[in-house]
Amino acid sequence: MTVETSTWATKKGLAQMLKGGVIMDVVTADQAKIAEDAGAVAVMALERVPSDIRAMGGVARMSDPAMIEAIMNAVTIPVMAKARIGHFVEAQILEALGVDYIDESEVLTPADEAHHIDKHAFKVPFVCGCRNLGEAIRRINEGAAMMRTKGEAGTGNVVEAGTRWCGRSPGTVAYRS
Amino acid sequence: MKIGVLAVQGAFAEHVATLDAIGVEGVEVRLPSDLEGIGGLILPGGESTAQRRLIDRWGLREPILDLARSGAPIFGTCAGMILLSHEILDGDEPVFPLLDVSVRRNAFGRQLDSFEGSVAVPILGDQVVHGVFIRAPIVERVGEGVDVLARLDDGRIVAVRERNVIATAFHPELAGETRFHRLLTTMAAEHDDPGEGSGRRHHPTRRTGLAR
Repeated sequence: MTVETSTWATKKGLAQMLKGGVIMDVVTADQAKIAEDAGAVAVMALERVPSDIRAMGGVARMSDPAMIEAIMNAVTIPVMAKARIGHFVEAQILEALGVDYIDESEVLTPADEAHHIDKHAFKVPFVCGCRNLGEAIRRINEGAAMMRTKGEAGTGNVVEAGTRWCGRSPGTVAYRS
Repeated sequence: MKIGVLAVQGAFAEHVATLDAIGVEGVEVRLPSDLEGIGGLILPGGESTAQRRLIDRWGLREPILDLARSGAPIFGTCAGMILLSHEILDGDEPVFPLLDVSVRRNAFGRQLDSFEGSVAVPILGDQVVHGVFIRAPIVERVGEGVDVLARLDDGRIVAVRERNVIATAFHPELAGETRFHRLLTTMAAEHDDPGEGSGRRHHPTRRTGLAR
């Protein structure tokens, strides 16, 4: 039996298993445990939740690897973590830690204004945010295995995200892979 | 013939699409009333910790156990296999203890260890099954009366059957594999209407050459 790991089917497959579930932002192992017990399908390990990142200003980076590891050891559900847009070294560190998904996220300060990470080059799957179909297709072309909507990070304004999803934003249509 | 697919969380749409591909109507099951009139049930992949909460939240546990006890076929993939087991080795309580097996969750490791490869499943014929294993469980103990349907090359058990309940650690619905769904539908049809000559016909999974 020939076995292949980190194929497109396994990357996309995990996203398919997460459907209909809640992925919860957590900043400590205790919070991750609470999220798991409450029925979250995955946790997003963050140093600060987006609203705090926004309030504090400055440069928001990848979270402390020790904190991510503590969360990975605390729960059995998948653990995701964020890397800055275009910051492939942060992504390499997260892959070496063994996280289950990397979020190349606009919540953190972008490391590159123009270019995103070449996500095909990684074994770990990526999720990216998008505002419209064009953005979604560019991210998938770069290797993203899951897409999410982009709101205004940390504001709690869900109208933005909802509008994208319901297809009321110009250029957004129902998309099936 | 309608086959239900538990649709509280996870990859239920893929199972409905697979049923559609073989011309069988798939019914998404979210409430106990959705179980009326279905001949069999699929428990899809997803996160078993999340699914177990939703199963209890919507009062689905007893109605599904009643359906299984009536003899209707049940098919669980990945998280579905975990939900069907007598024992879950890292401590969680069983949900539908219909398979006398012990399973270990995430037995292969994290997502980076997820893999795909071919698996021999003798009851489905000589053509191997392409198995997609995503943070997959493994069966570490089988009781008496449990048939082993497939093993990996190293001997680890990845598909089992006990009476009317089948479970796989991998995802046939992600690989365009329809034979498990055909088998389930055949079993559901025979349960629903044994029909003339059924006494002479072997149960569809009672074939020699099980991978034990």
